[in-house]
Amino acid sequence: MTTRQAADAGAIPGTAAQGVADDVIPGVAVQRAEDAGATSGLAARLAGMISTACDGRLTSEEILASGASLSALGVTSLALLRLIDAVEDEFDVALDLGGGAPYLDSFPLLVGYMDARTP
Amino acid sequence: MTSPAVPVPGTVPEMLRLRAAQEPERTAVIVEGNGAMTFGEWERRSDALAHGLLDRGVRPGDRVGLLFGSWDWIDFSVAYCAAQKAGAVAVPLSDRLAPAEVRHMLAHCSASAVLYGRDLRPPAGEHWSAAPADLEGGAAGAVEVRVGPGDLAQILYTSGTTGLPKGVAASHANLVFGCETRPNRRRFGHSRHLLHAFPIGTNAGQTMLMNALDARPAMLTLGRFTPGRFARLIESYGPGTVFVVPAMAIEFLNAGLHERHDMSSVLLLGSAASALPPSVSARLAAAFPNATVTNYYTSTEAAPAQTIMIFDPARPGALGRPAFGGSLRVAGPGGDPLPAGETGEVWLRSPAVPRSYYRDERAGAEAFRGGWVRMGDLGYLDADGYLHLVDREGDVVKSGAFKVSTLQVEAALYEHADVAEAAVVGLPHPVLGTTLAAAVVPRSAGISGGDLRAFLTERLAGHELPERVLVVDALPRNQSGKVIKRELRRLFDPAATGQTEGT
Repeated sequence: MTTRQAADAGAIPGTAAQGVADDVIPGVAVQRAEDAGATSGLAARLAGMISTACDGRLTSEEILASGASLSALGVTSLALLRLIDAVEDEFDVALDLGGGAPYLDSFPLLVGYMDARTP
Repeated sequence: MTSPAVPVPGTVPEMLRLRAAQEPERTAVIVEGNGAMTFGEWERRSDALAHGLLDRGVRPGDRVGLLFGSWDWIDFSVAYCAAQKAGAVAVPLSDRLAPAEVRHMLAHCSASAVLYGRDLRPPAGEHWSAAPADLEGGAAGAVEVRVGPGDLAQILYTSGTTGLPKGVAASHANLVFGCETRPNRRRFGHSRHLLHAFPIGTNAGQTMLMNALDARPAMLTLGRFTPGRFARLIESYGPGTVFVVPAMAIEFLNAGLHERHDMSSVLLLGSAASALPPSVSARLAAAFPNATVTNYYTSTEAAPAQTIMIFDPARPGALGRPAFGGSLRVAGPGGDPLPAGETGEVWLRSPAVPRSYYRDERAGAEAFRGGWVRMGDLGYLDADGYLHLVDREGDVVKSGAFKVSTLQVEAALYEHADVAEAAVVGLPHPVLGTTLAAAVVPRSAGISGGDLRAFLTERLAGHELPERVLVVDALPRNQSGKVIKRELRRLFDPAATGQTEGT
């Protein structure tokens, strides 16, 4: 044996977006998510991807209607890392390479961020 | 043939000094997308930062909090060694922690200063704080502070059985135990890169930092783990050694990434933090065709005591035997060793100076017994001395390999003004092993699971947030008033109806 121990506690690094309460989500982003016609297809697709990442525990409808933080909605760290991979695969957009990703704080913000980076 | 004599470092800063003298231009740490650092740079920057800390009044024995995210492993590594060069105790803190948790930890150890990484700000308190770059501009060269093997080097906070995190203190002698400095004997000698994704502030993460100091391969990590990114890193760097936790491994396998990327470089695939389920070990062995799949069993309290198991289909559930001169015991109620086959408490004894709880004698007396550490697990030894664990229900559960105290989550729920009663249990989860579920009796109608989770994000780390929150009229209790967790768990059964699950 020539290996030093690895150890207790490691886990899925990458945390659910840390708490942002409902009232701090900019209204403009909510507006974009709900109303912008060109965005609605993207929003629906992203909501479906989040629902899949959550193993279906959250429905697309619940996600589309949500303005609260994703972690308050019940999107776990595990679901978030699945979502990041799914978005990179489908849209070739990198989410959260580390160092803060405020657009992961809520669904409307995420849709706004993705809308600005996809054709 | 004997190797030329190489001094044996007695402290972590001595490990760095020696390596920087041996291989100043060699890459020590790489954070994908965030740069790299050589041993020479590590030494120079940590000297400069140590001067900066001393100039700001840090004195030997002071506790210095280090709040960094995984994208900042390079600055964290500099800050860790700088604090110790100044004679201070490094207190690594993960960016995953909620503000209230960081405040508690800094207050508990009376930190005099906090160094913090990019995009993070420490909470206010009795300490001053600075980014490393703010303090590195002054004097250069080694500082004149004597640091010895018996001096305290590090405090790591981990979930305990009483609901509040425990500070686990380690001396330099404990951390440098087993350090190998002879160039031809370095650990993981088959590798140019060692890839891991353990967070800062965990024992596994700190172990990787020690590996970065004395092992042959450069430590390679990434700002945020996802299975896809991990797979691409393996393909592009071809690391010979990769460390994971079971939850990462399961996600990786389920996503089928080994079918799309070349995994042939990996010769050692180590798993830590919780036991690999045998079926996962077998799948990993197939997915990493050239790798020896190895499981490590230890704890923040017990390190460097550990058991190591190379996956053996003939003993699929075994966790191995003690390594590196440590000892293993399955103890009966009085602490005496039990014969093979009998289930009892798992105890490990460190081959190095043991660790201890910082400022918590009562919990320390419970966990540390005459050089032995009670692991908090139940298990038995087979006839050949291999350890096997037995499941049990407790107040501390492992979720994705983090220890989480259900009592701590309950305590955080009780801080909400509208919560009359709260109880938290672990539910089985196919990837994480256990996921958290909370049942809450409200004081008034209208409270939702989403409200409660939003409230908890200020108080708990992401991995401590209950995935499921149920608002109920009453908690199931026995005649003496104790919550019956077995019945509580049933409430979360899909067949159970009549409750509101908050989202």
